[in-house]
Formats: sequence, structure tokens, C-alpha cells
Amino acid sequence: MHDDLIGYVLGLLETEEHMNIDRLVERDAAVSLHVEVLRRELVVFEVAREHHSPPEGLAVRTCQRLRNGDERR
Amino acid sequence: MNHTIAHVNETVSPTIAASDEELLLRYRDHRDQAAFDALVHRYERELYSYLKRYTRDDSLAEEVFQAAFLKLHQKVQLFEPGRRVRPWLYSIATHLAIDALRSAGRRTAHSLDAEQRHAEQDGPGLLQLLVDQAPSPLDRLEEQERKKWLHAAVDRLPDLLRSTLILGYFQGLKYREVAEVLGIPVGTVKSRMHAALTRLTAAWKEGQPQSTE
Repeated sequence: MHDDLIGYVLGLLETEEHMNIDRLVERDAAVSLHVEVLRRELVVFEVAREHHSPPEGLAVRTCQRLRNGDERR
Repeated sequence: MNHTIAHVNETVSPTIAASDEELLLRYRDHRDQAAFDALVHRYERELYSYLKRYTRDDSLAEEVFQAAFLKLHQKVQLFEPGRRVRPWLYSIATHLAIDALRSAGRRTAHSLDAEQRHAEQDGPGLLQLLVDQAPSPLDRLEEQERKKWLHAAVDRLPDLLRSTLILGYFQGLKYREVAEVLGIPVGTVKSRMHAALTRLTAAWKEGQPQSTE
């Protein structure tokens, strides 16, 4: 259950699994509290969840490189 | 270069509505280059971000990104309807990233000095995304320190836990997708995620100043 609650807080569950936990959180105070504790523990790590921008033209260069590789065969 | 970009823009547009799987099947069956190009562009930001986080190195991330799509091209005949592109691509990229790090003679890329350089480059822009109001200089310093600490802490995790954490927590793949990428059961993904976060949380709490009152 704890592993599923981690997945629930982090959004890693499939849709139906997530909805099942939604219903459980609504009706079970202990589970709701557990979720709240997890959220507070995990929020400290949010700052490292930034996305890294790719260098300019990466996709274009990649496509070109694949084309060049193909033509050489 | 401009001609190439214009060509790509013209050919990518009709493929926007197609799923990853449709695009790859078009490439597999008809050598539809525009379809493959669309996939590359679609994953440019997401996959590069993952590889940068995994390798902690700009050059390696770019190299592995290109190698991943080259491998996808080479293996395209193995792709079958019903299979999903996203976990397959991440699996290819992850294995290539592991190989690249091994070849570079390191498990993770960076010294703390390099972490500081990255933090200085990324910091103010990212902080603007994280808070509604401009943070104070002290807030910014604390955020930078926390980010530096977290990156180092993640890098210190055993590879099995680190891979799971990066794919799930940082990259946002669902448990089932992580399981498919790493070739492990979903239950193992869940327990590794739990173990990784437990270690990080414990280390974080241990490192916080204790109240003496």
C-alpha cells in the first residue's frame, strides 16, 4: 500500500489505479493522513525536478546525421 | 541549415496528430522520413532532459540522444503493432547512457564545482518557475544549495535505485513504463522507488540542523 501511495502522490499510477486511491483517500482518514505526510516529505525534492533544455538544433542535427548515415550505405 | 529547418517544418506538421506508434510504423513500412523526423522532434526536449539528468553532462547527453535515434532507426524492423514507442526509446537511451558513462570512465558525471556551474546557469530562471514572487537572495541561495545537495545525493544512490528514481520521479514515467524500460516487474519498480526516496528522505533529515532548544 505504501508503495502505491508514493506512486499516487507522484502521479506514477495508471488512471484507474489513481482513481482507486482517490476513493480510498476520501473514505479513510488514516490513508489521507499518510498521503499528506508523503506530500510534505517529498516536496523538499521538487526543486531538483527541473527540466533541461536541449541545445539549439539538436533534433535537426540528429535527423541530418541519420540521413547522412543512410546515404553512405 | 535554414532550408533544412523549413523542410522539416513543412513535413512535420501533417504528422502532429499521429501517435508515436503510427509514426514509427510509417517509417518501418514506408521509410517515411518525415514520420521519423517528427518522432525526433517530439522527443527532443523530453529525452534530452532525461539524458542530461542521467549523465550530468551536456556532451554525453547530446551524443546519447543521437545514438538512441540511430539505434531506433537500425532496430525499426523489430517494432510490432501493440508495442509502445516511449518505453522502448527510453530503454534504448538508458542502455546507451550506461555504456557512455562506462566508456567515459565514470558512473556519474560531475564534481561539485561543475554542479555549482550548472546551478549558476540554471538557477534564476528555474526559481522564477518555482515561486510566484521573486525570492530573496537568501531564498535563492538556499534553493541552490538544496538543488546541489539533491543532485549529489541522487548521484550517490546505487544504480538500480538511481535509474528507477530518475525515470519515475524526475522524468514522470508511470510505474508500468519504468518497468518496461528497465525490464523488471512493476512490483520491483515500486519497491525500488520506495527505497530510493526513503534513502533520500533519511539523508535529507540527517543533514538538517537540529534544534538545540
